[in-house]
Amino acid sequence: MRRGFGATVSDQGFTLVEVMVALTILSLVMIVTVTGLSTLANTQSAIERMTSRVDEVRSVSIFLRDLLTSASSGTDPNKLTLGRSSEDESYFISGNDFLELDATVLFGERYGGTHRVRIASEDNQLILRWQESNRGAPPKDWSDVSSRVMISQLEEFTVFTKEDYGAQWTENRRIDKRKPILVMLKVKAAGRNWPDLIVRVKQ
Amino acid sequence: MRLNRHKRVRASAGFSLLEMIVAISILALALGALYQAAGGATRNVRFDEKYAYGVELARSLLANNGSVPASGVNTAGATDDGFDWYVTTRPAAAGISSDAPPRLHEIEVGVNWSDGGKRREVVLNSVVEGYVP
Repeated sequence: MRRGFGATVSDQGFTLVEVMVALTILSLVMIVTVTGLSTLANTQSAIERMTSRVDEVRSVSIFLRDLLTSASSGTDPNKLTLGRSSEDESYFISGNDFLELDATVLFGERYGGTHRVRIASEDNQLILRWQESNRGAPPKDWSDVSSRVMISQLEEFTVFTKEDYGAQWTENRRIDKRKPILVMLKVKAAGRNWPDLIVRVKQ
Repeated sequence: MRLNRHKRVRASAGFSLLEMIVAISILALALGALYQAAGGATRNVRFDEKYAYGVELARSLLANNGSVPASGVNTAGATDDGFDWYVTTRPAAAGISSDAPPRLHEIEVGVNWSDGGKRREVVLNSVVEGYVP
């Protein structure tokens, strides 16, 4: 182990060339590994973005379908009707970019109660607002009631309605006492066009 | 120290070319498997997205044809996103009074799209009412 002339080759440490070669190989391996890791991280975030978008499409579509399918008739939720209620009792207003209706929804303070619901695009968001159906009292202003963001990066939201199966799609309908047969919602969010959402409104 | 000097020299000779090749190919295989897994995950998510869109489109088409003319419906079309769809109806089996025109129609809504060379399809079946326009 004594240093000097008697030392063997293996005791002399590395030469500069050996160290350089080793460092080069090490750096190559590191580059490959780091590139791989960053690619995986990018893939991960891309997958998460896509999954959340698909989730949004699924959950919002299902919610809107359920909501329109459970539209309720009659302005008084406690009134009993014999069969189909007369048409002038329903509450259903739709404009270009909003929709207001009475529906039986499973959220809020009263389980399964009838709520007055508004779906509208405001500031590039699709917002759901709801209030309890009031018995005769004037409705609250929509800005004072509970709300929830449904779609955050909304670019387009258009409401079309059809009064009858044979009829044409109309835009900007403002009748508030009668429900249309079909509602079509066109949504574009985060740069993607959603499939047109056509729902039959419960009569 | 002196006894195994011959051995030490032998041991410090480094890896042979064969050993290096084996090691590097194992590394390459592991990296390849990793990339493969990541790629598979992205592909699955894309399939899933297309399925979600296809099913929503089919449900919308079914709702749009909730009541069909007595003559039936036989339409097809395509969306801008590359989904092909068709709607066909045929009169449901006649009931007790076979003289009257059938009021019910069996409806079939199909949506199909291509996904990396493969055709994928969603088909919804239902029974709807026919009306006389």
